[in-house]
This record gives sequence, C-alpha cells and structure tokens, in this order.
Amino acid sequence: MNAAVLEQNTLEAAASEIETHVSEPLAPALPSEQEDVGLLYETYRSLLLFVAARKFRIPESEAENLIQEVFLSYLQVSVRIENVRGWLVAAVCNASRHFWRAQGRTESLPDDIGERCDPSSTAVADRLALEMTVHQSLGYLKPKCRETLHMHYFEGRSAADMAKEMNTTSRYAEKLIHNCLKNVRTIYMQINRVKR
Amino acid sequence: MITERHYDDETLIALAEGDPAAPTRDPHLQSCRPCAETFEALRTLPSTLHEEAVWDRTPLSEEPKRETVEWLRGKQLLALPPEARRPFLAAHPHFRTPAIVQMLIDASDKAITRMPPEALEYGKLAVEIAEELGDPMLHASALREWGYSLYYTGNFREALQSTERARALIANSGNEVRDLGRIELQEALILSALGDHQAAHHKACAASDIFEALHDGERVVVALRVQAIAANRLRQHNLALRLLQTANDRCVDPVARAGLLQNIAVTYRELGDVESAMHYFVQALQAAQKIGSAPYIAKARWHLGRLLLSQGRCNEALEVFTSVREGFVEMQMHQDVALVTIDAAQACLAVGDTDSVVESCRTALKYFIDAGLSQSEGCLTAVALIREAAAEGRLSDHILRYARRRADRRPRLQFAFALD
Repeated sequence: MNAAVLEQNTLEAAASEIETHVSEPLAPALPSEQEDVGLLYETYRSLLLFVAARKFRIPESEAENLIQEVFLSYLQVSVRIENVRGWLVAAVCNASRHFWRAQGRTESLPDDIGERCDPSSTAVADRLALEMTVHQSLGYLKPKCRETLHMHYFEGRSAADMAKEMNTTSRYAEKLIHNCLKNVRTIYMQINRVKR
Repeated sequence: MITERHYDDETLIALAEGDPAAPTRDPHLQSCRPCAETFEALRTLPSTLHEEAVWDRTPLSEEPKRETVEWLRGKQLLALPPEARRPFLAAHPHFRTPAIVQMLIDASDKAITRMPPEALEYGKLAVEIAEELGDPMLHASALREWGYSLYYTGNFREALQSTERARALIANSGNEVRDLGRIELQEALILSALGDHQAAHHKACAASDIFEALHDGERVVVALRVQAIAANRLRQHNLALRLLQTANDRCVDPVARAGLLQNIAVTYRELGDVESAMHYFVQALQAAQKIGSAPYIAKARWHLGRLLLSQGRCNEALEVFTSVREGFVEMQMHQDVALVTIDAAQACLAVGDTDSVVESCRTALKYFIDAGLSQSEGCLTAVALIREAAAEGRLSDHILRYARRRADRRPRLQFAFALD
C-alpha cells in the first residue's frame, strides 16, 4: 500500500506553488528540520478523514488506518515537502483509491470512483478543505435552511419548482435560497476566523 | 507600526454575490492575498453544495486519537538516523513521553536478534528519556531492556550494572513479582557469562519458580534454559540435557526454540555424542533460518564449523569460519569476531597453512582498530599474538589456547561458543 501512496510524492502542490518552485531542485530534508508528525496528524486528521470517509466513502475505522499509513509514508519521504497539506491530501486520495481497488476484487466499486479527487488537478487540497468547512457550516444551519439549500443545489431543483412545493411565490423561494446561502457563508467565515 | 487592513466578512460576501467583474477591478483584492483567498472560497462555496460529501451527515469522530499521535511520534524518532535522534529530541522535548519510551523498549526487543547495535541504541535512548520522566517502573523496564542488549553484545559488566539498577528501582517501587522474576533471569544470564555459574544456576531456579507460580510458560522455558547453561558450565551435562529437553517440550516460541536446539546440540557435543550434536546443530540452523535471525544463523553455523574442526574436516571448517566472521563484523559483535578468528587460526594450523593465519589476523586487527577498540582489549591482543606467532613460525595449540583465554577475559556469550 505504501507504494501506492508514494507513487504521487512528486506532485500535488497548488498551481501557484508549482509555478514558484518548478525550477528549484527538491532539497533533502534534514532530520533536525522535520516537523513533528504528531502535530501534523492533529492538524490535518479532520481533513484527511473527510476525504477518505466522505469523498471516498471508506468506513471510518479503515479510513483511520489509511491516514496512519499516509503519515508513515510521509516519514519515509526523503525530500523536503513544501506543501505538506497538498501532499497529504493527494496521498490519502491515492490510498483511498487503492483501498477500493483492493476491495473491488470482492465487491463492486462505487460508480464514480474514477472521478473522485483526481490528484493531478490543481489546488485539490484547497478545494477539499473548503468542502470540509462547508460540511461543518451546514451542520450549524437551521434545518429549514439546510433543506432549502439541499433541494436547490444538490437535488438541482429550480426556485419555481421549490415555490410550488412550498406553496409560495418563485420570488420568495429565490429570496429564501439567497438568504440561506448568505447564512452558510457567514457561518463559514466564522469557522474560518476561529481556525485562524 | 504598520497595520494591515482587510475586508470584513460583510464586504467579502457582498462582493461574492455582486457583479462578477467587480472583484477584478477591486485594487485591494488584487493586492491582498488573504482577502483574495477568502473571497475565492466564498465565491466558489455554492459549487461545493453540489458535492455529496458536504451533505453526508454520518457521524465521524472529531478528536485525533492520542495513542496515534504518540505512535506516529515514536515511528518518527525510530526512523531517524541514530546521530540525529538526540538533536531531534532536544528540538522537540514533547516527544519525551512514557509512550515513546515504551516504543523504544519494544523496538530494542525486536531488533536484538536482527541487528544488535540498533537494539543497543534504542535501549540507551529509552533509559535516557525514562530517567528524565522519573517513572521508576518505566525506568526499570528501560534499564532491564538495555541491560539485555548489553549482555547480548558481550558487554557483561555494563549489563550487570544496568540490570542491578533496574532491580533497585523495582525493589523501591513495591516489588512487582513478575518484574523481579525477569530481573533474576537476566542476572542469571549475565552471571553465567561472567563465570559465576553457581550463582547463575541459583538465580535461574528462583526465576523458574516465580514464573511457574505465575503460569508464565514462556518464561519458564527461558529459566530452564539458563539453568541448563549454568549446569553445562559446571560440567553437569546430563542435568543440562534433561533441563533442555523439558524446556524444548514446553517451548512454543520459534525464536526460543532456535536457541534451545543449539543449546541441546552443544550439550550433546560436550557429552561426546557427535552424531546427536550434528543432528541438533543442523536443526538449530534450520530454525534460525526460519526466523531470519542473522546472529542466530551465524552462531549456529559457527558451532557446526567447530564440530567439523573436531572431526578433522578442517578445510570445510575454515570456509564456515570465514563466512561467519564476516557476519559478526557486519553485526559489530566484536568478541565473536575475535573468537572465530582464533578458531579459523586453529583450522589453518591443522592444515599447516600459517600464511593464511597471518593474513586473517591482519584483517581482524584492522577491523578492531577501525572499530576503535583499544590495544588493551583482550580480543585485539589475542589476535595480535596469533599473528605474531604464525609469522615467526611458532604457532601451536598451546598459543591458540592462551590466545583464546586472552580473548575470553571478557567472558563469552552464552550462545556463541564451545564449552572449553
């Protein structure tokens, strides 16, 4: 499994970082410069668990094992990693795919497994961190607001369609969607402020 | 003082909801990275609401597992090169925890049969950290483990000191019976290696009684084995054989069995039953190869070599001794390097090839000098003596016996050698 994780250890920096560092050779990591891997685990566990358990729908106990394997692989990388978060996210994506490939020998894979979390796309880690924070934010919304956003964005229902169901006007439905979106953005900002 | 000014939440949300072209014209967003990043997240937030993952409300644990944090830190420390560990600990003092000490102790225990120098280093580090933490039982555990590594690599005096320190800590902390039993056993091993076989036998019996009472079958096997080794040293070979066969009948651990088979073989050899000795040496070698322990394999082959030598099959014996010595050099088992060099010299003498003696001793001496062993080391002296005698054409069995005694001034590893 470590081979699968390590196969991507040269990629996954965000696009801007790649442009900055593309001409610089990767320096070897000095032992004294190594970050505390326990601290990295505490910092990034939520994000990595989100990726493995929610994006890839791996059971939590297995996801936790994958995360530990990812960190073990991180310890084995001999070059300095500039974008640690990006590396870890890409590694857990690869590990998660590998997990399902192995499972696929006995069970069918999720239908959209190929489209999940392509680590060659830029700013993957940023995107996933955003999704995780939005997930948290939705948990703080009132149920009616959450349901409104779910119907419109996830189920793809139009304001007009929702208005019919709610027995109200399209204008009111649009305003409801807009206010709920604003609420989730506000909660998102508050969470981010706490994190900073 | 320069104060950074940023857009507040309301402003950023309004920009995200407003004219899509406005942000590209906003001078602050073009120049302020934090604001630009937050704005970008707010702008793309609606797109995340299409993702199934953000709606998944399956409960997941939120807190990082404490034991995982400690485990990863231990792995990080173990993965560092030895010379980097202490500077790393100095830079990360929060790594000095009981969990890390236990990981080092466990790592030392696992490494001792594969790579003894590594085991020594882990053990020493565990002792240093445990001492700082001030937990007497943990400190005792670390001292005991380090003591075993010292014993295994032939540092018997230091091994005894470390083990005695562990005993004192256990005695002061309430005398945990099982821990005391392990200390008794370890002291028995070391005393046996130091030549005090009566004391070793006595301690091994005491340990055996403790472990029988605790129904700890694995450790009873070890205690029986140590009693047998002491009995052999006291020339009570028949008693030794009975003890070893009882241990072998009760043994379930493959590592312990590899050692037991070798002990049985050595005992048969001492009883003059060469055929049985050969049978058990071959079994011991097969068992050692199965567990993949380089020191065990080397020692089993060494014993076979000595048996071949005793049967006059000197060229075969010499071939074995040469390859075994290379293995001991790699494992930094200094005393065994010296002892097997002496055996090789004996084989060469038997076939009348004193030139090879000079050459092999020269190689061994270079190894000791490169390893930083002082001129006063018995091993170095013994080998130098043989080389000199061979070069002057006066090498004899008498000189070889004398040289062996010089090398043996630091007593021998119990597993490694013939009971001369």
